[in-house]
Amino acid sequence: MADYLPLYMFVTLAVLLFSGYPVAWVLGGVGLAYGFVGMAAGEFMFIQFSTLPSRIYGGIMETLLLTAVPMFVFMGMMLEKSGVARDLLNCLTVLLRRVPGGLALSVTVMGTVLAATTGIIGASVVMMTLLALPVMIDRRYSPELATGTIAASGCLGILIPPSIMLVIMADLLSRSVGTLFMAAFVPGLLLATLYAVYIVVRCALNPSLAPALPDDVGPRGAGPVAAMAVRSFVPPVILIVMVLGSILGGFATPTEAAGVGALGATLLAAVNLVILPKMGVRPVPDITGDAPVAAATLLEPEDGSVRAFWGTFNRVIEDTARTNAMIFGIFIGATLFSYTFRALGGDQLILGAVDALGFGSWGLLLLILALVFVLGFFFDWIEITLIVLPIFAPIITVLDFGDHLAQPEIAYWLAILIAMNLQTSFLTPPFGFALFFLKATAPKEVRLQQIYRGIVPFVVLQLLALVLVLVFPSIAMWLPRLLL
Amino acid sequence: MSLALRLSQLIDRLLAVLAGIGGWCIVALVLAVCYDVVTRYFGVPKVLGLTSTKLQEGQYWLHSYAIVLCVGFAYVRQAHVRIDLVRERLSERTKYWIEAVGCAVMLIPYSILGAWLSYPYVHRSFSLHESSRSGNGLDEVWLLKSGLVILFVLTGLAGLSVFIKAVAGLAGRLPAAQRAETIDG
Repeated sequence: MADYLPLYMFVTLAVLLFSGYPVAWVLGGVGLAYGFVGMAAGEFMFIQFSTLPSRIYGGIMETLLLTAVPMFVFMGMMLEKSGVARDLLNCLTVLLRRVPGGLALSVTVMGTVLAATTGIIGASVVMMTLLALPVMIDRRYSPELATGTIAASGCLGILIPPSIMLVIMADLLSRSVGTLFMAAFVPGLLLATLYAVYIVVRCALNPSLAPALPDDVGPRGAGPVAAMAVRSFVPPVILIVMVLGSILGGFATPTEAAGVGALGATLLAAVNLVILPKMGVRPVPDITGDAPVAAATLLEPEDGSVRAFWGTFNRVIEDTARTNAMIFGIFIGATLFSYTFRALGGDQLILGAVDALGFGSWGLLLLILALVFVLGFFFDWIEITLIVLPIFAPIITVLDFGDHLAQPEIAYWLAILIAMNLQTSFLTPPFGFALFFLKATAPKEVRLQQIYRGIVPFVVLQLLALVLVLVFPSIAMWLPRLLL
Repeated sequence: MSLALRLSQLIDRLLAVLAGIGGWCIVALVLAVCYDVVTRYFGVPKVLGLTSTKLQEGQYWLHSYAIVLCVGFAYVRQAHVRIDLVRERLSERTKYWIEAVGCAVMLIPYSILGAWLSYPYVHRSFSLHESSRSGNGLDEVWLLKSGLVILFVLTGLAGLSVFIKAVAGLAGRLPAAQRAETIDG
């Protein structure tokens, strides 16, 4: 009976999570309760709890790497709330107006470029939906194509660096974030490219899915279009390229890049909300139909623009602090949970079960992926990485793929596979996490069946990419091997 | 009940003020990182005897306090993740029950345990005059470790506040305006 305590512990966690009480506190509460159960069973001593403070201190507070998390969140929030992201989408739409499915393509490009900013799936899908879905429907895009594109592009953020999930995974697996970012880069671009090719080919074959932008919308001619690009496209892209480039090139640590990225995003916001209006530059013509954040204040740039910027700045701080607290609340709860789990013999139980199953390394890998896929129906990546990854950690060290992949590379490859797998899971009907957020934010006339139909091709592309990386680990490991 | 609800409001206001400070810790963190980067990569001398080590330790100090001061507040503002799958179908009463029981048997005991265990941990650091591991970093590490006690005291207070509101909700005495911040809609 006592041998199976970790198993009961896990089941209790699963059941209580569905009560809807916050995940962070359920983790802490179950960890605490099973400490007492363990004491009753003679498997745990109260004194063992006393390592909790040093675990939180050493694992969270003292970890410089994790400071990158709030700064990346800050950067993303700033780009979003200051209207830089909206202008970018407008600008892409104009630049891609001659391409079939241009608006859908713009959404994919924006998802790729702003991946940095969108670590939290719910938030990023909501943002993309608000920004792009009404206008796509307005322009008579097929709702299937529109919703599929938005959900899939919104999920790119957990894979494409600087994904917050990868920062936390690297921390949990004690691996280098820089290397993990490099490993994620090519698979991320591969996915974005697959999406883009699918959109263009599909819309070229059937133009009625994606009517072109009417000629009277947006600036015409090389001059105005170039001006728009210089204003809305070039600055954020330079910012992201600098942040990513400095990490991939080994010039800066992720923490440093995140800090500079956050400051850079604030400067872009200031330019967008204060300096340009003061110079009398007109705001970017709004093609997405979404009301500009500071529309009212832009009319009177004398002092209103400063106030708009200040208001945005404060909102960004507040939302960043809350998102960060939400992530680290789970971190703190999971600290106690996984400690008790391990103290009750959870690691041995898992390794024993793995032995008993008699799966080889490939079997285990597929088992982990299948499990993560199912968990992705119910949980966001935060819970999955923080609860499940520490439990799998002992298994990862015993995996051996012979000539397929060198031992030191396995953890990176596995992290990328888990990330891609989670993306797929978030998109898969009927449970897909991203789809619920999309449905909740979408205009009423978009039906759930349309969303389901629209997402299927993207899930297929996603699975294709996953299998490719599974069969050819070099897709992930090529860049780290090249750069390191 | 009205006295308890007033206590709950008082707690929420305290948490809001502290979380405001926590938010600005993130701004300070960004500035500290940028200052360190600029001075190190461009060879600008640092002022006030700051070293890169000190700045980097300051960064995780700031981040720690950004967490410590905001985690409790995030709960009274319903920013913590919930698994909504079943929850959506529950009645309002059941939701209040879940919130009240959850606070009473999970969050509050967990917070008490955390604060109770953290105090000796901080005290040891204080009485040993523990200083930074790297030698030339920040001293008075107990100031950082105190964050642990603050963290758990604040999550406990947040739990108490939500508990009061949930019980008031069950008794039908919760003002409608506070409904959303107790059971998140």
